[in-house]
Parts: sequence; structure tokens; C-alpha cells
Amino acid sequence: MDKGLQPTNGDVYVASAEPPEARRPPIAETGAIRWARENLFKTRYDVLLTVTVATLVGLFLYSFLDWVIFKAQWEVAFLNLRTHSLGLSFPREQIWRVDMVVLIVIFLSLFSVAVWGSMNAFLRRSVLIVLAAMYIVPILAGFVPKTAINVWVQEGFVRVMNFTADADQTIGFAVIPQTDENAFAVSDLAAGYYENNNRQAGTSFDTFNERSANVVAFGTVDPSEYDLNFRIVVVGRNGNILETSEFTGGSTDEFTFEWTAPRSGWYATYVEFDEEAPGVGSAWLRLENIEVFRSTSKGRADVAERYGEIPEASAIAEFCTNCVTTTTRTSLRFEGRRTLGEFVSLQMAPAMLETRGLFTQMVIVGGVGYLLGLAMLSLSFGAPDTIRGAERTVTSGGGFLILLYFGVQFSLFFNPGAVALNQISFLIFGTLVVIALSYAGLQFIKGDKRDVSRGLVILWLISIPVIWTMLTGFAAIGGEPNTRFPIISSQNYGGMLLTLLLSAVSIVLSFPLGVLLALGRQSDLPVVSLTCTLFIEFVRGVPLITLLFFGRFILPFFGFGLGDVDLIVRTMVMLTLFTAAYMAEVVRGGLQIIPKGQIEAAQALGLNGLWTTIFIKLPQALRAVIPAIMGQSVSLFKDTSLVFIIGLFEMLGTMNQVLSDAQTGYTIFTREGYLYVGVAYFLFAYLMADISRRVERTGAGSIRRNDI
Amino acid sequence: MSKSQIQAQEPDEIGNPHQIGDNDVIQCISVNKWYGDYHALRDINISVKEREVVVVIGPSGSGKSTLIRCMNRLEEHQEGQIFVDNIELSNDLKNINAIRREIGMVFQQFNLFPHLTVVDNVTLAQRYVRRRSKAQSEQIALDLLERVGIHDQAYKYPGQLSGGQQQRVAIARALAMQPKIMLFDEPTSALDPEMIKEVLDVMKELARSGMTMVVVTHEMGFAREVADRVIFMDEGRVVEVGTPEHFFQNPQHDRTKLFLSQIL
Ligand SMILES: Nc1ncnc2c1ncn2[C@@H]1O[C@H](COP(=O)(O)OP(=O)(O)OP(=O)(O)O)[C@@H](O)[C@H]1O
Ligand SMILES: [Mg+2]
Repeated sequence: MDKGLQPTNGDVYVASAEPPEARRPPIAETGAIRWARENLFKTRYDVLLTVTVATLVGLFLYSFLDWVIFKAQWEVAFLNLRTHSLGLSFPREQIWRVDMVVLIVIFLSLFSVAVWGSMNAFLRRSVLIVLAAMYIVPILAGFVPKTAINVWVQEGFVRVMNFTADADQTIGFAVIPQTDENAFAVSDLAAGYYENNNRQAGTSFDTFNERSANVVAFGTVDPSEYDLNFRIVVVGRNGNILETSEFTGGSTDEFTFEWTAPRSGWYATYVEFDEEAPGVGSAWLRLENIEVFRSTSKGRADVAERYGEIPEASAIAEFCTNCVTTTTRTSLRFEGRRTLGEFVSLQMAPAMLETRGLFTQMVIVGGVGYLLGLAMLSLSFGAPDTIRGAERTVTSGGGFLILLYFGVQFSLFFNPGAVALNQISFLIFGTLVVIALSYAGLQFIKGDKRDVSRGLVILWLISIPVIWTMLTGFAAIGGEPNTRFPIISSQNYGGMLLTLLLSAVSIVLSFPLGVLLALGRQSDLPVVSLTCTLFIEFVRGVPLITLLFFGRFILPFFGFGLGDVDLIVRTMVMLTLFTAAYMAEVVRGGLQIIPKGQIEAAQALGLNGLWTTIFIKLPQALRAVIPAIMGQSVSLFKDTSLVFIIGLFEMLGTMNQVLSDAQTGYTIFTREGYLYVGVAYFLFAYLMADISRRVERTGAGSIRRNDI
Repeated sequence: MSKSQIQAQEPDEIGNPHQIGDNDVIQCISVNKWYGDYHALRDINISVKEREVVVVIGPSGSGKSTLIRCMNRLEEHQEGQIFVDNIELSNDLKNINAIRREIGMVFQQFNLFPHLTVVDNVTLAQRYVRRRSKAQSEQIALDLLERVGIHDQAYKYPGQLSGGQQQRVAIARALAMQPKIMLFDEPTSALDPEMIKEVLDVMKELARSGMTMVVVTHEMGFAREVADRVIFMDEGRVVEVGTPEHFFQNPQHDRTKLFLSQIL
């Protein structure tokens, strides 16, 4: 057997009786260098192309990242996250409801990933890395030398700054007389934030901007005439003065001193001009090693825990009589260049403090969902008769309640104000949710993959009314108006919430509608096929904007109370119709590629037209066009940005509002704002494409295609 | 190999194409069919008895597939009558579906449903046409897959099987409906020689178990061994009908002689 491969004599070769043992395939060499040589530098032209493209991409990336890290000001994104997510007028105290919805969706999604798919190791690792970074970076940022803060000092132009200090923290004060317009180069001014006395906007900004604005506005004074008299005061939490340093006379030299905090806590510092002789000129007050309080909402809790309750902005005005609180906000961009450390401490850390709360919750809830899904698949509890009995009880009870619920809703329709009906409806709804949950639970404990799948589908189905109720709320529960869970009018919806609502509802509805239209178009009944064809061709023949205008302005003239229908609902209907027409064409393409033999085989088995369509035609047609369907969905998702034209403010529209509001002072941050929105759109679209790729690979798609 | 083998009864009499008896399960009376202007079937008179195995041979384009497909109404004939199980094939959908339930068909290209696993291919029609429970139809499917020798592939997709295995799944799928008649349209023509045998073995076993079969094939060995009658077709008409012995030893019609001399 061992010498079997050698020809035994002359030209005749006979293999040994027993075939050689099967071996594992050789391990393919896949070093990075080898890969590069084979794929990037194979021929001379490959080398040329690789080098050229790499250079161009590299140059672009370099200048882009350079801007992102050292120059851009991302506050417009991370200080307005709530606004971007929910719109400008979403009631703040109801935000928790949206958070709940997000967590429900995350939980179900990861549960599904565990049951139906598998977690991408790369994704899992990235999420954990990001999570870790969110906790480590703010700590690291603490080690970055604190940015010096430069405050413009001039009579009638006084700022009070709250700051926190640890025990024995030494803060350096420096007064730099402003005598030469150019003496103070831009690069001398570090990027700093400080709390504006007027905290209503709840935002912060760079001190650099002050320089250009004020130097231009007030000019400089001749050194010989320079004469400025003021005191720098440091006060404690309750207003007791801890330190006063006088800056007087015609000195144009820098004047410095240090102050050490006696204990950890809140302090404030301000400049007080001599009442009799304030003098002429202006100066910069530079504060070194100071942690000026930033009003990032998430950071507040941490700061309050460490240094005590945050003082009100107005509290200081009580003990600083001469302090003038200024309300002007400068609208100049930061023109300098920050260091990497400053990027970490001034951009990354605040952004992470702002987002990490919800993100942590999402990771925990998602992780629990994922592990639960895995557990449900691997734990088998068997399916004894008791479970079947319980299942029957639950389903029949649920069926009865659903009927009852429709009855109550029907009566409510004619008698909307009835409190008792409202209560009953609420009760039934709650019971139905509990019943559905327990039915799904029963499926899970059977431990069989199909049952777990079914339970999961049920969870998704009940999540839809639950989410809907979470978002819209209840008018009244039990006589008095509902204050804890009130109705949020759809006019308050905006931002990412609106984008996702519009696209999710339209995608989910347009899919079955599109399938029906496609089947209708192929129908043998001329009336049906003609109607479907006309509808499809009409919708595909007009721009989406026209349809949106139609829904907004023309529909109400049709009567039937169409004008009373919520604008968002009307818009959803228009988006659904629009997408359904395109979906129909995509599905029709899929139906056409099904070989005739498939239908003949189904007919030969005695399957009638309906069964053939449901079990043979549609599954194959839809699987074939998954990429196109997903393409339509992504395109609809992006098209929702058009709704600002009819007065709805989704993600992009909300950003436009933020950027155009002169009062909040973000008008100059268009670059950052739009880039942030672009990245957000991209992330969602990428997620959708990724899901579509995974769906493609399930079932029969998991095997080599050309073999079928 | 088979547990449910029933001894096939010897046919007592060689069928005459123009004599139509009462125990005939398929009767074609003066069937004519056109594709557009092309006259594909010309005045076909054929009958198939219960438990009979009829092999249809003939050159390419002679109308064999057309004939067999008319028998379960995959093609529509324009003139004449076809009775299956004493029900006439007409445009009445109820009749057609009733007849299709009783006739299984196996195609040259297998036509398995690629999006369903082997078991699901076999259970689908049982569940929705025969209205059997899931458990029952699955049991039947697994038994049949065992009978055709591929029960270990039950949970794969058709795309993961060899041609011979796929064709055996197709046979099992048709058998799962417990048809009275099985139609085979060149079931081995798309297969490699080694796979042809495994499919023919299943068909022979089926014939021995007493199934009524109409088989279009070029496998003369199969015809010789299993057929009760052989029908030779050319240019849309039946040229000669007889026992295998008659055909392979003593063909009468010149066209038959020519055809047989070419392929034997
Ligand atoms: N759908 C059709 N439209 C038009 N002509 C057809 C159609 N189907 C078959 N024909 C013609 O009818 C004739 C008989 O075709 P059929 O498929 O029955 O032949 P066959 O005997 O099965 O041949 P083969 O051995 O090649 O399968 C052929 O000439 C063919 O071209
Ligand atoms: Mg043929």
C-alpha cells in the first residue's frame, strides 16, 4: 500500500487496492506580506496603481484626520445628542420612554442574533473596546495637563467662573496686559472651555474666540497710558472670600500669583474693578491648572458626586456685586491647533461622558439578551404535556382577550372620552402583553430551536404595540389626566427618532404591499393587473417630493377626515406607497427568474396556485432579490431626509435647526454638524446592509449557489 | 432493500392501443395537440392498465414528453379525451387537482425545490394537499427516503446532493403523495452512468411493488427488464406498441427498426 504511487512496471500503473487515507488540506499560507505581494504588488501596474491610490487616500485621510483631531469642534454634536436624537421640542422629562424603547429593541435584536445568527467576533470586540474606552478615556483625560484658560478682562466685561479643585491643588493666575495687538499669538492661547455665566444654553466654547473678537472691538492702549486697577477674587462655595490679589497702576509687566485650594470642593473666581478708578486698557487673565466646570449633562452627576452640589449660576451674583454677567456669546471658530492631549481631554472625554450612560445600558441589556438567547438554545427543558396544556390555555385566553380588545377599541372610537373604557382598554392591553410574554416564555422553555424561534417572533410582534404605546402614551388612566405617561403629540417628534420611525414603518409596510402589487401585476385578472400596473407606473413616474406634498397639502381636500390624520402618519403612507411601487418591480424581477420547472413540479404535486405562490415562488423570488430589497430600504431610509420640505424635522432637519439657531451659537459649526449627521446615516445604512448579507447566507443561501 | 414489496402480477394480455378496457387507469382517445401551428401529438390512442409499466421510446422531438405531460395536464390537449382514473381531464380545476393528487411525476431536471431541505421537499405537498399532520408527513418522508436509500441526507439542501441522490429525492417526493400512477420523463438523462444505476434500481423496485408507471426513457435495458409494454413514437404519433420481446427481437415497422438499429 505504501509504495502504491510508483508505477509497478513500464507504462502500466495499478493503484493499490486500498485508497490512501484522507488527509487534511494543506494549511494555506496567509501572511500579511504574502497577501500583499499576491494582491497588491503582483505586476508592475499593480504596484503603480497601489502606490498611487494609497498616496491619494493617505493624503486625504491625513488632512481629514488632522482636521478632526486638532481643529474641529465637536460640541455641536455631543452637547446636543438629545436634540439630534429626538428633535428640539421633545419633552425632556419623557426621554426615559425613548430610552426604554431603545433598550427593548436592543434586547430583542441581540436575542435574535443569538438564536438566528451568530455574533461577529469583530463586532463584539469593537463594542467592548469602545465601552472600555468610554470609561478609561475620561480618567486619562484627568492626567492631561489642564488647559490654561484665558479670560478677557475689561471694565464692564466680567466673567465669573465656577471651578472645582481637589485639596492642595495649586492654581496659577497670570495677568497679561494687553498692550500690543500682535504680542499675543494665537498659538499662545490653548483651547479651553469655561462655563459661561449665562448657562441657559448649557454649552461651552473656546476662549480663543474671545481674543479676536475683543481685540478687534476694543483695540489696544498705548503702553504709556495703560492704567488698570482690579482685584482677582477667589470665593468658596458659600461666597466667603478666600483670596484677593490686587493688580494696580500703570504696570505693563505680567503679574502672577498662585493659590492653593484648602480642600476639595467648589470655588469661583472673578475680577472686580476698582470702583473709583477702574482705569484704561484691557488684559488677559490666564488660569493654569484649573478645572472649569462644563455643563455637560452627564458629567454633572459625576462632578456633583465628587465635589458636592453644583452651585446655581445666579448664586454668585449675590456676593459679587460688581460682577457683570455677560450674555454675549462669541461666534468665532477656534482657529488654532490643539494638542492630542487636549483633543482627549476637551473633545473625547466630554463626548464619552455624555454618551456612556446609555451606551453602557445598551451593552448590558444587549449582552443579557444575547446570553439569554444562547441559553434558550442550549438548555433543553423538554416538552411535557403540562407545557402543552398551559399553552392551550394561554392561547385560548389570549384569543378571547384580543377579540375583547377590538370590541373595546371599537366602542372607544365612537366614544373617545369614556374614562371607564379607557381603563378597560389599558387593562386588557396590559394583560395581553403579559399573556404574550408567557406564551413566548413557554416556547423558550421547550428548548427546541424552532420553538425558541417562534417565541422570539411573538416577542417581536408584541414589541410593536408596546413600543407604539411607550412612544405615544395614554390619555387618561383612571379619571384624572395621565401625567406620568402622557400622550406625546407627534408634532414633538424629531431627529433620529423621526427618521427611524418613518423608515421602519415604511419599510415594514411597503414590503408586503410591494409583494402584493407584484403578484397583482402578474395576475390573470385584467382588472387587477391593470390597476397594479397603473399604480406602479404612476408612483414610479413622479418624484418622492411630489408625493410628500400630495400627502401634506392635497390629501386633506379629499375629505373623509383625511386632513385630521396626523401629518406623520400621512407621510408614512406616502413613503410606503412610494417604496412599495419600487419593491413591486424588484419582486417581479425575482418572480421572473424562477424556472418553469419549479412551478411544474409544484403543480404535478397537486399544489394549487396559492400554495405554489406562497411556498415555491415567493421564497425563491424574495431570496434572489434580498440585495435589491435591502437597497430599496436603505434608499428609503436616506430619502426620509426629504420630509423637512413638508415641515417635519428628522435627523438632518433637526441638525439644520440647531445650526441655524443664532441664539445657541452653533451657526459656525456646520462642518462638524453635517459630518456628524452623515456618519450617523452611514452607520444605520451599513447596519442594514450587513443584516441583509446575513439574511442572504441563511437557509439554502448557506450552500454554494451554483450547485442548486 | 424494500420491506413493502408486493409481488407484481403478470399482465395477462398485451394491450392493444385501440382497445380500451374498464380497468385502464389512463385512457387517451384520439388525442391531438398543437404548439401553435405545429402538430405535436397526432391522434394518440393509448391506455395504461393498473399495475402496468409502460415505457415510451422514440427519437428526440417525437412528442414523448408532450404526451406524458398531457397525462397530468401540464400541457393542454386540444382534441380528444384523456381519462385518468375515470375522471376526464378538462379545464375544471377541481378535476385537475384531483388527478394530479393521484399522479406523481419525476422530471429529467429533478425540479427539486432548492430553498427547502430534502425532508421539507418531501413533506410540503403532503401537508398542504394531503393535509397530513407535520409529524405524520415527516415520518412518511423519512420512511420513503430510507426506501430510496438516502435517509442520511434528509436535512441537507438539494444543492448539496449529487444528481442521482436528487433524482431519488424527487421520486420520494412524488411517492409521498401515495399516487396511483407515476410518470417519469427521462429520469436518468441528466445523470452520470454510475448514478443512472442507483435511480433505475429504485424504479425497478417500484415497478416490482406493483406501481402503475409510464416511463419515457432511452434506457433499453430498463425497458427490456421491467416494461410490460413498450410504445414507440415518432413525429407525434404512436408507431408501434408491443411487449419488450416483440420490440427487441421482432420489430415490425421500418421506422422502429431504424431507430432501434441506431441506438442498440
Ligand atoms: N412549449 C413548446 N412550444 C412549441 N413547441 C414545442 C414546445 N414543447 C415542445 N415543442 C415541440 O414539440 C415537439 C415534441 O416535443 P417533446 O418535448 O414532446 O419531444 P420529446 O419526444 O420529449 O423529445 P426529447 O427526447 O428530446 O425530450 C418538438 O418538436 C418540440 O420542438
Ligand atoms: Mg422530452
